[in-house]
Amino acid sequence: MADLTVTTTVEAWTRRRNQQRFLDEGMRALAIGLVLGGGTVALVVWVPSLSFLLIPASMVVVGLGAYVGWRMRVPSRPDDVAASVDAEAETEGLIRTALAVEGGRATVSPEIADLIRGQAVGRLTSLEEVGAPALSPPTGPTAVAALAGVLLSVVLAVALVAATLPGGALAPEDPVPAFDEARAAELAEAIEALEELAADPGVTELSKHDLQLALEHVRKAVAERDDPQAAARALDQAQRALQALEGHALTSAAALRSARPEDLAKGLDRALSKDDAGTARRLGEEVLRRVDSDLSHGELKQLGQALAEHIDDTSTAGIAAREAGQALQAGEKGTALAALADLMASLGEPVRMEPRRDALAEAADAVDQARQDAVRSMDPDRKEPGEGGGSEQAQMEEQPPQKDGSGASESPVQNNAGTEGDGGGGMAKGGTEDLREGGSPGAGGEPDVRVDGERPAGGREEGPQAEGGRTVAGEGPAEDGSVDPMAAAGAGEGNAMVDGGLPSDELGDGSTSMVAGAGPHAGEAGGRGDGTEGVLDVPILGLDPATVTEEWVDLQWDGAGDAMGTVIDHADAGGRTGLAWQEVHARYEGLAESATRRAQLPLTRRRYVRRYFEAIRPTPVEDAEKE
Amino acid sequence: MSRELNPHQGRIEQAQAAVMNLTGEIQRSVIGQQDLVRGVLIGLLCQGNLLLEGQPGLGKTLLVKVLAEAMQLRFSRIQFTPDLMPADITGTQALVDDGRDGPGQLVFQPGPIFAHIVLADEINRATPKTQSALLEAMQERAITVGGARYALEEPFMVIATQNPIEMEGTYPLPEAQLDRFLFKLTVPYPPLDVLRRIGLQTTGNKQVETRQVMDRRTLLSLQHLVRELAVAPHVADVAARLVLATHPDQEGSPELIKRFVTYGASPRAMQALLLAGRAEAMLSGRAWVDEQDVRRVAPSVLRHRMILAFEAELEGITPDALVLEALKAVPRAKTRQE
Repeated sequence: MADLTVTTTVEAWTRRRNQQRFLDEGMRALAIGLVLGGGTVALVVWVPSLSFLLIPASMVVVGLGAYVGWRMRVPSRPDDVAASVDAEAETEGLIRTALAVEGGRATVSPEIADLIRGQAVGRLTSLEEVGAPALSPPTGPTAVAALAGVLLSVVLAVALVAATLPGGALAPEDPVPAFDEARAAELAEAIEALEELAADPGVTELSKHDLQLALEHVRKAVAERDDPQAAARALDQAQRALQALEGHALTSAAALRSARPEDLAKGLDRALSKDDAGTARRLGEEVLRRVDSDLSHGELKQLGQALAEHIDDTSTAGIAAREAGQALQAGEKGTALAALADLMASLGEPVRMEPRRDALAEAADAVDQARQDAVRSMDPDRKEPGEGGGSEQAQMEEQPPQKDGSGASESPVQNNAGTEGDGGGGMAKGGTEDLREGGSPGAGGEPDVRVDGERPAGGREEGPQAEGGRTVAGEGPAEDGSVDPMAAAGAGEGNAMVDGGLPSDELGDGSTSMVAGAGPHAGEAGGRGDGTEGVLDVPILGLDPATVTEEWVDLQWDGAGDAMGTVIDHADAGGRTGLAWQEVHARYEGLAESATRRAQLPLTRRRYVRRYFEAIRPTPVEDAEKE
Repeated sequence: MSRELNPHQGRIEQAQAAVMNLTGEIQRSVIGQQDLVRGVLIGLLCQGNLLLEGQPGLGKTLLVKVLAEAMQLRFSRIQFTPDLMPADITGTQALVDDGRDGPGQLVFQPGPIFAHIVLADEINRATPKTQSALLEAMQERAITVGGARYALEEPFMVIATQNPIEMEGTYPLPEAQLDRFLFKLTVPYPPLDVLRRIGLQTTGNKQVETRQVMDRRTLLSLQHLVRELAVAPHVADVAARLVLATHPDQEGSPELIKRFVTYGASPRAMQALLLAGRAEAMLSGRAWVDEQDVRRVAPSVLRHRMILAFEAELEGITPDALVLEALKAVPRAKTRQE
C-alpha cells in the first residue's frame, strides 16, 4: 500500500464505483424501461388508437438512458472526483485534502502529509471491503433532467392527444404514404409489363416514347411514395401517357420491319422465355419475312448472327430459332427457312397483331388505382374518397404569391359550343376557384386573357356549369384582392351562363379557368398565376378521341407568367372533355387540403375549407345526371 | 485488513485524548457549559484570546481558574474597574533600595499580566486607556514598560469577561481590541437539570479539587501540533467566502448583512477561522480540516468582528443571526451529492 498514491487510488476507486453505478442504474433503468415499454406496447396492441403513446414512452426510455449516463458520469477534475468520493464515503474532506497535499496545494509537514495520505488510501481500501454505499435518489441536476424528461413526455403526449382529437390538429399531421404495399406491388408489376412492352421491337416510336414517359412517372411515383402529392402528380402524368397510348396503335408492321436484327432477336428470345407465343410468333414471322425476302448475304448473315447469339436454346422454339441463325451464318438459306418453319409450328396458331392491350390496360388500371389512393392519402380523414388526381398541386405550391390582381379568374377559352361566360371561370361548381381562394387567400392575378377575342375581365365567374340552361349561382372572386378566406370561398361559384343551353359544364372552360385563373395566389400556398410559371397540366379523362380533340395552347394575358388553356374541337357538336365533376372535386379537395396543411392557417379557417368541399361534394344523383 | 497505526496518527490521537482528559477534569468543577468549555479549549490550543460574555455567576471565572489549575499554569485575575490603571496590569518600575548608598535602583515590578492565563474580569468596566494596555500583550505576547520590552512567557492567553446587562458605567471595547480576541463566546444560562446539579454539587462540604492533567510542555506541543494540521484549498476558500460574506459591500452578501452591518470582519477573522478550524479538527481526531470545522467555529469567530449599524439594534438583529446568514450565503464546497 505504501507505493500507492492517493490519486491513483482515487481513480481506481472511482472507476470501480462507476462500474457499480452503471450496473445498478442500468438495471434500474432497464427494469423501468421494460415495464414502461412493455406496458405501452401491450396497451397499444389492446387499443390501437393509443399508438401515440409509443412516442412519449420512447422519450421516457431515452430519458432513462440519459439519467443512467448522468449517474455514471466520471467527474473530470481530480478535485471533483475527490469531493465525490468524500461525499459518498463520508470521509469529511479527507480525500480532497489528501489530493491537495499530494498535489502540493496544501502545505503541511511531511509527517502529517504521510499520515493523511495513508489514511486516505486506507479509508478507500476499507470502503472497498465494506462495499458500496446505497445509491441516493436523484437530486440536483439529475432530478432536473429526469423532471425535464417527464415534462417533455407529458407535453408531447398532450400535443399528440390534442392532434388526434377531431378538428384539433394542433401539430402538423404526419404524411400518409400515397399507397399501400399491395398497390406498390401492383405498380411494380405494371412497371415490369411496361418495360416489356417498351422492349418490344414492334412498338412504334410514338408508343415507345409514351411508354418510356409512363414508366418514368410510375417509377417516380413509387420512389416518392411517402409524398402523396408528388406521387399523385407522377401517377397522373403516367396515366396521361398511358391514355395517350390508347389513341394510336401500339405496334406497327413498319416498326417491326425497321427493327434492328439484334432487337428482333432479343425480343424473340424474351417472348420465348416468357412463353408469350403471340409476340414470339409476330417476331418470328418478321424474321421469316426477312429471310424469305431478297436481303443481301451480309444482312442475312447479320440476322443469323443475332439469332445465334441472343436466342437461348433451352426450348424447342429456341433451338429452331438458333438453328436458323446458324444456318444463315453458314449461308444456308434453305436450312434456315426450314428451321424457321419449325419455329413457327412450335408457336401454335397465329394471333392478332395488336398484342398486350390487356397488359397495358392492367397497368393503366393499377396506375389509376394508385393515383386515387395517393389523392386519398392527401386527406386521410376524408370519409368518401373521391376520384381524380391532383397533379396541379405541387406546381401550385411552388409559386410565389401573386402580386396584384383582383382574384378573379378569367380565362377566355375558345368554346365553339357557344358557351358565353364573362370570365372564363367556368370550372363549374366553383371547385377551382374556391380551392384557389380558400387555400390561399390573397391577391389573384387578373389574367384578362383573350384568345378568342371576347372575354371581358371582371370579377364574375361565369362557367359553363349549366344543365339545360340552369344558372348556377355565385359571385366571382373578390375583385379587390380580398385576403379573407371567407370571401374567397364564394369565389368559385361560377355564374354559369350557357348560351344555347349546352350542358357544357365539362367544356374546356372549366379546365381553362383552372389554368389561367390566377389560381391560389397567396402567401404560403402559392399558386398559379403568380407570374413565374404557369403550365398546368390538367388530365383530360375519358375523352373520346373519335369525336373530340383538344389542344393545349399558351395563352396571352396581362399578368406575369405563363398561362395555358385547352382548345376543344367539335365542342359545338357536343364534344366534351372528360373531367367528371366527381374527379374535379376529389382532385381539388385534395389540393385544398394539402394547401391548408402547409399554410399556417387558423384552425377555424382550415375547417371552413373542409366544410366547403363537403358542401359541394357531388351526390350520386348529380353523378348520374352527368353521366 | 488491519489498519496500520501511523505514528503521527498516534500523536493526533494522543492529543485528542489529552484534551479530552482536560475537558473531563474541567467539567468536574464546571457543570454543564460543554460548548463553552470546548470553545475555551480551542482558544487555548490556538493560543488565542477569548472574550466571554454572560451574566454574572455563570461560572466564567471558575472555568478559567480551573483551566489554569488543571495544567498547573500561572493564573492571574484582574478585576477591571474604572479606576484601574494600565500599570496595575502591566506592572511598574519601582525604586528599590539596593542596600548601597545612593537613591537606589528602578526595578520593574511585573504586573498580573505576567501569567500564563490572565483573567480580565469585567473588562468593559475599565477605561479605554486601561483596556488598551492589554493590546500589546494580547497581540505580541510582550509589554513595554519604561522603554523596556518584556516578553511574556508562553503559553499566554487573555480571557476577558464582560457583563452584557450592566451598561451604566461601562466602556465598550474598541473595535481594534475586539478584533484581537480569537473567539467571543457567549455563556448561556444553564438549563434546569444543570442548575439543579450546580446547587446540589457546590453547596456541600465536599469541594472538588482540580487535579493536574496536563503540563505546560504538553500544552505547548499541542499548540504546535494544531498548526501542523492540513487545510485544503477548498476549505480555505470556504473560510474566505465566509469572511467576505460579512461585508455589506461585497457582491452576493446576504441582504440582512447589507442592511444591518456597517463593517465586516477583518483578515484576522480569516486567520482565526482556519486556526480554530484546525483545533476543531484536532479535537475530532483528524489531521486535516474539514469544511464543517470552519463552519462550526464561524459564529464564535465572526460575531464580535462585525460592526453593526444602528438599525440592527433598533430591529433587534443579533450578530449571531447575521453570521447565520453569512453561513447560508456560502454554498458548500462542490460535491457529487447533487
